[in-house]
Amino acid sequence: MGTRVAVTSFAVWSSAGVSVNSRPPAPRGGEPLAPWPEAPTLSAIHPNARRPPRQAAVLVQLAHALLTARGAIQGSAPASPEWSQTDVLLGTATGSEAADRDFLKGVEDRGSGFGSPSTFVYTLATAAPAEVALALGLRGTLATLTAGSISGLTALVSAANHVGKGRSRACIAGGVELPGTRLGLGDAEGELAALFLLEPSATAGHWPSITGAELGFDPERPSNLGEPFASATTTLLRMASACADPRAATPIEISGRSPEGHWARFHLQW
Amino acid sequence: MTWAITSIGAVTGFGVGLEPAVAALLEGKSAIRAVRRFSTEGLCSALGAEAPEDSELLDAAGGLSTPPASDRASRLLLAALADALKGRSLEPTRRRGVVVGTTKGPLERLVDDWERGVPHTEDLLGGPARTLATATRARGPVYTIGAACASSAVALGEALTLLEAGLCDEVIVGGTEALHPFIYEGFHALKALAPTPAAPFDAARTGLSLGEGAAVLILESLVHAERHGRRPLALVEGFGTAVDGFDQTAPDPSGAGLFAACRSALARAGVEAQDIDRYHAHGTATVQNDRMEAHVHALLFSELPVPVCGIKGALGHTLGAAAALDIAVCARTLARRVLPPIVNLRHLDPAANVPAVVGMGRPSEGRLGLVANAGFGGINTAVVLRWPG
Repeated sequence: MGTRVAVTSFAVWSSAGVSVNSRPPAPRGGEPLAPWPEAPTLSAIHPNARRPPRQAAVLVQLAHALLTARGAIQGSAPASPEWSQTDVLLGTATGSEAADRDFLKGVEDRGSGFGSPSTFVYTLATAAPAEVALALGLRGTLATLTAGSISGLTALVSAANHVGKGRSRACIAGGVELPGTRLGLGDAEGELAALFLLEPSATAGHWPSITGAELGFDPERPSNLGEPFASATTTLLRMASACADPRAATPIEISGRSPEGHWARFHLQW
Repeated sequence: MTWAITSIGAVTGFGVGLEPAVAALLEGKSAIRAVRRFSTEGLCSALGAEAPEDSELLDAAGGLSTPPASDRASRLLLAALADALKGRSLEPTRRRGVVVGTTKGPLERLVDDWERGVPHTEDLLGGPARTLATATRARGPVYTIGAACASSAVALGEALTLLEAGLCDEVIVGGTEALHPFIYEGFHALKALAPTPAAPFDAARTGLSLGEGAAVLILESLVHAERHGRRPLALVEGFGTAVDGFDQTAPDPSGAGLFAACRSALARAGVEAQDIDRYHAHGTATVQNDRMEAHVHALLFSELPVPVCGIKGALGHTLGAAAALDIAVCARTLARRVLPPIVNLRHLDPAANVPAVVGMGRPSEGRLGLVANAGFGGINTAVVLRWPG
């Protein structure tokens, strides 16, 4: 991976509430995001925002909390990096589904020549993370990554490689799945947004480091990891829990696989 | 480490194969014509560059041992793969990855599910990448990149990262996009569609024409390629990306984001702007894009008349596939020592006054090309390609 990479802050928003740099409580399956009344409003963070859909607003609020938390870390911790060179890599399997359906409904209701231009803009999966970049002044790479129910973990592996190979000074990575669609086997998933800030550990030292990351695809034998299929949210919650556990002395493995055959494996070390 | 493109394939409005597209492009032809696959009644344009019918795509991909693709974006990708492989065999390996750029992927399946009220039971957006992985027996990283109209350039950047990180020996990069009424109605809503064929940088242009297609590029280290007896078709010497932070749809008129992406790619390649022999423009034929790009060209090259090429007057704007097609055309025409023209450009917009290649292809001895792309969300990318000779 090259340079060692640390997770310097993380933020999770689920049906159980919002947690920043602390262990997220277990969410209730199949439920929407909990209200977050104390969150700064979108207009306070991003005065020039138009009316982005909920997914974009959620990501802007959570990313703002993430960077604010990183900036507030004091003591012997290194100062925050220059945010303008930060990447945003977002894992999502459901993408822009809510905006897609809104646009389609508008066309059905009003006719093919009368789709809403402002809704169409958000039918790109990248539009929601682009709102984060616009709001917070991030000017690095911007992309969504999709690999079934391990899309979020895949984005984290990619981010670790970006930072580890010196392509990025910092990277916000994670996942968002808001429509609550059933993507994995097992219980219907609840909504979740989880973001992690990755930086070179040479400028960190107080945080868990990523010591290994692998990705693979095995459609014929998707059980090669010998564990159940991961839902789109469980791997991200496991990742956040691992980052919140400074007592762990041995490397923590976070792995997951999707019914389509994607798999990922990630090692964290405090 | 030097990275090489060792196989290239494409499907465009000119049919299956990169060669027919390049041949038509060099003759100044355009594949933009009346859309046949769906009604455009009531919309501000009736034009598009449609790829061949599904039956022809399936025939082209017939030699690949893979289950039939269930959506058009995957069928386009498989036909492009067949063009790229041309006898190159691929054994199953964990050391091969697949990264595919697309904006909407298998949109017809998504829309069909929504209209029937059926919840998705799988990740549909990732379908084309998995189709490509199955066909190439890739067992390494397989994922889909969304980065608007720069999706397949960002996919190439991801491939470079996977190679640099040592996770893969070779990565198959794809870009694919199928035309669908949803996309057509969306660009109509944005008032971006031209009633006449797209004419990038032309004073009389009226907007963009949509197209569909796919491109496949196989990337590996030069050392790995040579060890397996494969000749590089082009070397990828630099890649850069930057967000301009201006607006969700409009590019920053100053071109700061694209300029930063180009500077980053040049720095990574270890070359200066004056070393570049040609600039392959994103060139959508919208006033905002073309003028922004002309500004970037002036900033980057100062007074140097670095020739500007572009494919969208010939192939339409293929969105997620556009960058991979740009790279494919740049690589092939570098090797043929020729500059492709910007089709449909007749009278330069004085406010986008670039040294464009006009009319027919023309000879060029240059070996170094800069390929630029931009997308909604302010995403900008640049790739430096070298013909190895």
